[in-house]
Amino acid sequence: MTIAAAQIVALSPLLMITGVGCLALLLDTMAKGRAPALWLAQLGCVAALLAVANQWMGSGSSQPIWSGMLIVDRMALFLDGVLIIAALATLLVAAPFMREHEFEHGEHYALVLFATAGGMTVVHATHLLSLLIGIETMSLAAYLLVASWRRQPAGAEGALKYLLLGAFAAGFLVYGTALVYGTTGGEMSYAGIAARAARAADNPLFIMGAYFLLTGMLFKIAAVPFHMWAPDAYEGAPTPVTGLMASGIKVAAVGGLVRLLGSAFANPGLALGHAGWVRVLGGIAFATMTWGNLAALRQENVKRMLAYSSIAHAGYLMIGLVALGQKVDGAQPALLVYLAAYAATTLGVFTVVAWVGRRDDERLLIRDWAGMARTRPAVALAMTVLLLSLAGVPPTGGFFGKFYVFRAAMQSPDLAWLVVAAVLNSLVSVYYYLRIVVAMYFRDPVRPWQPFPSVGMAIVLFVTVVVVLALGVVPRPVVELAAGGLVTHW
Amino acid sequence: MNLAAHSASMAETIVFAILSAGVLVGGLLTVTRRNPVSAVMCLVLTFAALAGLFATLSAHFLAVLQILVYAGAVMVLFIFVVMMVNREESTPIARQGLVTRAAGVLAAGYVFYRVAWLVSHERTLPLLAASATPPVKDFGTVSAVGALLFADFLFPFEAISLLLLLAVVGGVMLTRHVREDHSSRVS
Amino acid sequence: MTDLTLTLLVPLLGAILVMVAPWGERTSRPIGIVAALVSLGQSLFIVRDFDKSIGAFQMAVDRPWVPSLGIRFHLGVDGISLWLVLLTTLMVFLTLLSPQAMGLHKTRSREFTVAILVLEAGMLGTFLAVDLFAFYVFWELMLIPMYFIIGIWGGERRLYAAIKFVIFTLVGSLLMLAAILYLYAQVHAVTGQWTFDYATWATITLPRGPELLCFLAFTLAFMIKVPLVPLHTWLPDAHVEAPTGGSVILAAVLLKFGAYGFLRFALPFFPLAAQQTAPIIAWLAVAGIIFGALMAWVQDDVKKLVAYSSVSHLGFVVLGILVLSQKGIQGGIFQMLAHGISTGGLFLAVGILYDRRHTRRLSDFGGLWKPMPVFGACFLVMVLASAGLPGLCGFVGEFLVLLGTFTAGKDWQASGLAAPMFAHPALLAGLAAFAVILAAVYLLTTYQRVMFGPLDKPENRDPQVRDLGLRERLVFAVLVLTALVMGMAPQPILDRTAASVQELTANYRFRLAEARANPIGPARRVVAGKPSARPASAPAGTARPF
Repeated sequence: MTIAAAQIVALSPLLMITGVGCLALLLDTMAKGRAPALWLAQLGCVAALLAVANQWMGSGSSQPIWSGMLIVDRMALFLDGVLIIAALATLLVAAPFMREHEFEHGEHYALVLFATAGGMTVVHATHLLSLLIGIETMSLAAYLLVASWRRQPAGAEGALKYLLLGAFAAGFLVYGTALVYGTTGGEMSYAGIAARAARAADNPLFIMGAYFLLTGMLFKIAAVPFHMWAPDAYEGAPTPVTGLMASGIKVAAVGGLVRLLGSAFANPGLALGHAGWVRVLGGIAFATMTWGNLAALRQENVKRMLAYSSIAHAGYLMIGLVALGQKVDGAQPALLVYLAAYAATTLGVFTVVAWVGRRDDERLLIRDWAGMARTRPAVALAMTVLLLSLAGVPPTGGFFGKFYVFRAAMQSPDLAWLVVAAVLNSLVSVYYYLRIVVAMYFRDPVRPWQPFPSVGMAIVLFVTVVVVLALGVVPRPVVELAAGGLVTHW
Repeated sequence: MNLAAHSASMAETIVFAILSAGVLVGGLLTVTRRNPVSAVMCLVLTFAALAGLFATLSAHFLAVLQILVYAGAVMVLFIFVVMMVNREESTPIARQGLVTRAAGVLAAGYVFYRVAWLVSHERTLPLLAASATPPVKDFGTVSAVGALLFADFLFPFEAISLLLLLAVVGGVMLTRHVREDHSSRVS
Repeated sequence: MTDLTLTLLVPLLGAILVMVAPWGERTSRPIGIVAALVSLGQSLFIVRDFDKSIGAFQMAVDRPWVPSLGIRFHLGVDGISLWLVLLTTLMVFLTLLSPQAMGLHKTRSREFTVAILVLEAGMLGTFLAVDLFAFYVFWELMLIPMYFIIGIWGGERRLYAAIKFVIFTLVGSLLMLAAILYLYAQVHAVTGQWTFDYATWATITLPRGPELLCFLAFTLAFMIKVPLVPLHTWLPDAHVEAPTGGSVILAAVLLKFGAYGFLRFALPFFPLAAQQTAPIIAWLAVAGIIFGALMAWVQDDVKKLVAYSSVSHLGFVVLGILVLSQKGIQGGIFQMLAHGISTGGLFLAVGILYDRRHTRRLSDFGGLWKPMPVFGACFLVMVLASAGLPGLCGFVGEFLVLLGTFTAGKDWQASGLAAPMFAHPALLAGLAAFAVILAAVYLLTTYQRVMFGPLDKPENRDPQVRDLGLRERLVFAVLVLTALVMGMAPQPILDRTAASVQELTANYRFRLAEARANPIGPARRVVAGKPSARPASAPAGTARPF
């Protein structure tokens, strides 16, 4: 088999990110200081974005390439774009953060890129092996990033928990792959599995394999009851890395799930019915939303609270997955729009959290945020807009994304209860998001504020707020993008 | 079925049982040993038994690779590191979270029960499906594996190299000496 | 022809201008006042251009927003929302004009002005929205500025009051969102198209069970806002802790959204459910009228007193609407406007008292007529308007509501249907009338305790306790004049609401009849056969549920 040049070009964004990551590693050893590696990484992200745009123009190939391992369709390219932008934002925020707290090292930038490469593999994957490798790459890079702030013991603890549970999840993924392979007669590609699924849907071993795969993926998006690693990992990681985990990695994992559930396991015999994954996911979505919101209510640490809120958002996202399983037409665009809005909001929120701390004073408790509005009104206003977006208050992108997903869910009468539950959960979440707003605006400052100046963070914050507001007020371009070109016809 | 075939399948089953026991026992012992060197040795047992299993499945190349790379290179490296670091025997993990442990035991028990049920009903249920394409003539040899790796599975093969690079980078990054003063340059 | 989008944009642009204007605090107030004045002028133009013979929405702005989802930016004004729009712009203008708007914390006036202007945009958008999605967006948009206004510029327990306000409102509005989504899906199931258009939604009849659930969700959201007992507990706290400007807008405008939403959405969309639950809501309204009056009577805190009187007066509005006759609903709408003027004025007066004397306790006042005669006169007009003295605005509204309630049975019989709700309309009217007497009692005694009597407390003789300044006189002049005009010449106002209310009641009765004729029908589309003053695009023809 010869590798056609077209196949390599089709993967150009992924190859670029990987290549630039390796180059950044090299540059870090050779050049003086960290700046060259950082700039190379950022330029690499921009170049990869251009490659994505280029692929978008010419794309439309809905055929898996590389012997059925990957596919380059518009949904994958859209998610690629989101992942690369998340990486770029993380780089812009990580550099000043690391300089301020003095633990900068060049590998960090390369690791961010490698995590993104893993994520991109996941969203392009149409074969269980690609999915596995993508997940593992993304996760390994994430474990390392979480542990990268060596002077923080919380980082090592979080990374260890993440590593142990992640390895466990990988075991589930591999075992599930093996079972699916065996029970479908050697199929590991999504198309192959889908072709055999009708026959295999009665096979208990196949169902077990499918559920093992689902479990492994649910670990990665921190769904209840597989979420135990998330609060500690999110809290212990350096804040820009938390932002990457909450946005980029979650987006990639959900994207992988969309494709997995939408093609390989889309068979109604497997999806619907008493033991179908639609029902199971529905229950898990409810548990995730509720647990995440209730746990966030009691948190005093902003990062931990946002970690639990991230878990709750995974629950809302899963409602979209459930709707996808019910073959609702609008479910896939809704998920993609919500993912984009969620990623933008999360990146912005964690940028603010990264910004407020100084060298030995990270200010992670809510009461440390008191009075921010007096010293830094613009930042406080930005944070308020982003928190409102997370809560789902109009006219923000977070509200529109939620509305879009709920709309998809409401089209199936079985899911009405989920929507009502989600709506009530949003109410609960408003309370704890407003706690931060209260601290910023309504309380007097206890300690003087001197946030450190940083152009990168300001840019990221500004762009995310603009994107969030734009998605709320004029969502039309993104919606048409999602509804028109993105829907993959399996 | 005639005697030869019957005894052949009996022999297969016995060999499989012994090797699987080796794998499982080795794994269990690895995670329960306090002495790191003993743990590593038990891991070697696991890998050796695994290689045996590969051999019984006609994956000769993989079996040899398993011995050479895992039981040979990787485990030797482990022993080196363990002996160099020379840690004390590890203390047991704290006894907490009884409820979650109980829930875990119950869940695992349920899965075990299900699998046992499946195994016991193997004859009546259509569990494993036959592959559409029969295995090639030289299945398991170097050339066959090589053809697969560089043809159908080229992308995973190349992608895994990134994973290995990550592991190396991570190893260096996590074990580097961090200076206590506030210099951003670490050695 | 006035462009309604401009009406929305002016406050927003004003807010942006205030945010970026140089010289900070000094310019923010004037810019805000100018923006509010322009807004007021625009709403006056809308009133002037309003065609009172058309019952449907006029001056419509209809632009696609997210076409693939059926969301359009559709604004329009009709008889029901016309005067509420004017009330909004007027009260915002008066609030920004009055010096006591920010209560005792006279700092950060720039942010305050921005919050008020954004709030105004939200309020106007909610009144003008014809598309349900736009309505929901504007409805939620009103929440956050009010939260900030209470929380930053409020009194002692402002945080508690602000959070309570947010949580109560959100419970209702989030359930309403679920109901909206459900209806959205049902509309698609029946008509095959995705749309949030009001006209289409008003023709869809749901099966009884879902209809009742959706009605309850909508009604909960609106009745929390009214507020209807027993969902009113957020109101006294919010009113007491809010700064004067916040209280004025809260009472004068924000509380109207409950009744407006109920009239605009809950009734037309779910006629049968409304009919079935009307007795309960009507009794709750009357309970609220009496409860509010009684609670007001025993208050020592003047602001809380006015807050409870609000609960009482707004019960009249709900009662009037539930009668579902021309008189009743027009009375309810008029009462909304009258309450806005009179209670807005009362809160302003209380704010002035607080500003002068730094206390709200009735026992601290007395004999203030001597130092503040002009204030006394204005305060008297507001008190009498609130009490319902003929010749002032409050009387017309309450009278029409009582009349409508009393004649409820006959009105309905005339249209061939059984009386909507209660077997004892006369009893309800009687109880409500009794509460009017109570109102007179507590309002007049309050006035007496504040203004009359000996000037015996030394603090009241302080030179600080001075009479109204120029701006304050201007504000009260407008209010007093409006109260007088509304009371003496209510006909122009009632004229312009008549057509829309007639259309609403006709539609309601038609759909109710159809729902009663087909009690176990599926979700279906029901189109009125009368070619009344509908826009040309509406299909005319015989009604046929399918």
